[in-house]
Amino acid sequence: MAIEAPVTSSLQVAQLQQQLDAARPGAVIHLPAGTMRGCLVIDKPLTLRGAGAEHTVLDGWGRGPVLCIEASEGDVRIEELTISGGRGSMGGGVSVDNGARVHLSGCMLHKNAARTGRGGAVAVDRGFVRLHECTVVDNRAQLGGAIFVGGDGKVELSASILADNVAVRGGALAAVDDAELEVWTSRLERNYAEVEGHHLYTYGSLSHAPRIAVTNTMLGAVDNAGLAIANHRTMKASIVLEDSSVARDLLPTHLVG
Amino acid sequence: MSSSPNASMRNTMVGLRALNTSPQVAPSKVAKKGPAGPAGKVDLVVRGDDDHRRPVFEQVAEEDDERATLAPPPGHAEGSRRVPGEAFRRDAKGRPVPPCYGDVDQGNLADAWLLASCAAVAHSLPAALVRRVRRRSPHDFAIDLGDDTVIVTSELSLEGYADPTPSGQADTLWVALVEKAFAIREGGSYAHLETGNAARALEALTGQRARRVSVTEHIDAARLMKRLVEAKAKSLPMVLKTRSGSLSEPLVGDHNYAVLDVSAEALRIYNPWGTAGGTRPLEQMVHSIPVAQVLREVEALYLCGA
Repeated sequence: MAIEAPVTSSLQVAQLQQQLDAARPGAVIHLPAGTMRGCLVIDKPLTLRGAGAEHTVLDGWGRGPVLCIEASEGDVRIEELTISGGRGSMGGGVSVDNGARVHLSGCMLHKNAARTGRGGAVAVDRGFVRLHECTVVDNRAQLGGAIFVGGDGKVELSASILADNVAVRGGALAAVDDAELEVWTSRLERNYAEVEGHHLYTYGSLSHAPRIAVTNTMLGAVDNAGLAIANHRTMKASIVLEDSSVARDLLPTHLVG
Repeated sequence: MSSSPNASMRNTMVGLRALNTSPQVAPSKVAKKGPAGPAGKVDLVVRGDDDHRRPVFEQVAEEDDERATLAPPPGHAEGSRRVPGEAFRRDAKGRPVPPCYGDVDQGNLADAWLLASCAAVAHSLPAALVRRVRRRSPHDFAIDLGDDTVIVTSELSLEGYADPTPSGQADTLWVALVEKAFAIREGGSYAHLETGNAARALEALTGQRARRVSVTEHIDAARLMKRLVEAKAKSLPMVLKTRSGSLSEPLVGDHNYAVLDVSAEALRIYNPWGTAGGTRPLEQMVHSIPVAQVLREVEALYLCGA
């Protein structure tokens, strides 16, 4: 049975870090309404549950990624809170690199940045991240303004909105190498890439190709010229668009593999 | 990510250029300006390699066309030149002289995540590099990156990326060859190396799993340092990644360093910017960082083989 650990509204992020360190695997830690400023490291499977995305805010304050998920096994659940103000090179809001399975539900990821790196809101290079009923808006990165998924990573995105994210490549999403990306029942709106791939930028490597499935999803119009989905010419990802609506002129067929 | 000596300025320039031009450029032209992969007559062939039980990727191209396989980032010079020499120096008896961190001199590409990893492996596991970078023929080299083998020549960019003759030293091509092999593997573009993850670079260079250890002000410092001291005792390659923004001297924001040594009080690190073509002493790029500064200004450490 999970251990439920309510915390007080006056909790500082240093105390919360101590609580996370002391928690047993499987613990559920409830965060109250309010804003906590700082960055946290989670190194074991547990649940961090806020009082609603409009009430509980974890603000990285530009000091680093808001949540670094270091757990190498088990499931980490982040629920009903806002992740904002994070800065990092691999995931400004949430960084997953050691193989964790992370479930984000009912979360707002807002104004996080990896300005010279990958994944403004979320980056997963090794591990699995599922975003369900999340709103990912106004994040920035060099590659993957909202979400980056790399070689040993998989991302599932459902019932979520990705809007107003900006990157040099891949305004909303970037998937490279051996990545897997599944998007369904979601909306991608007004994302912007300075070079290409307003909604999605992808390329493989010599020995791998990303696998991308987009189902029942609306890819909205973009305000600027350039490709909404940019696939590599030779190291192509496999992209399947199914039952999705795509704004007119967004998909030059020669660039969609 | 990765900084080069002028990375922040270039990133700004790239951003401005793209913002200024993208709206006027037709989609097809934007695609051509992007990180195009192998183009023209150049092709890539996959074939089995019985000796190593791993795929080998060979550029099948006329030599004059090889440069076409590697797109530079926007704003960088195109074109290449052949740099003569060997991957590693040899002693009087003809044995390879082990590579060292001082061979790494980053140049104009913001791939410190990769070059700091090269320096870290050269310092901790030089023999691994000698095994992974081999001359294959009079014309080319075979570079093992993880389970891939990439064949490259010493035809190198004119822009000045990793220095193939650091401090004017000949027969030290290994860093530039590794960088080029990564660019070929990563979508055939140097531009793709401008963001990256030191963990993946360490794994590709050693074949061992790497772990990220995140650092914040609130983690247990004694536990962190104990872990690093143990890693150092095992000669594990380590890379340090700094946070964004302005940091205290001598650290640079959004940059990667090779960790050379660890004590309970400090880390000794190497900045892969190196001697900048021999214009500054190597010692100026080696720093000692107290634990307090590590907690305050480091985003993560990457430990290979931990």
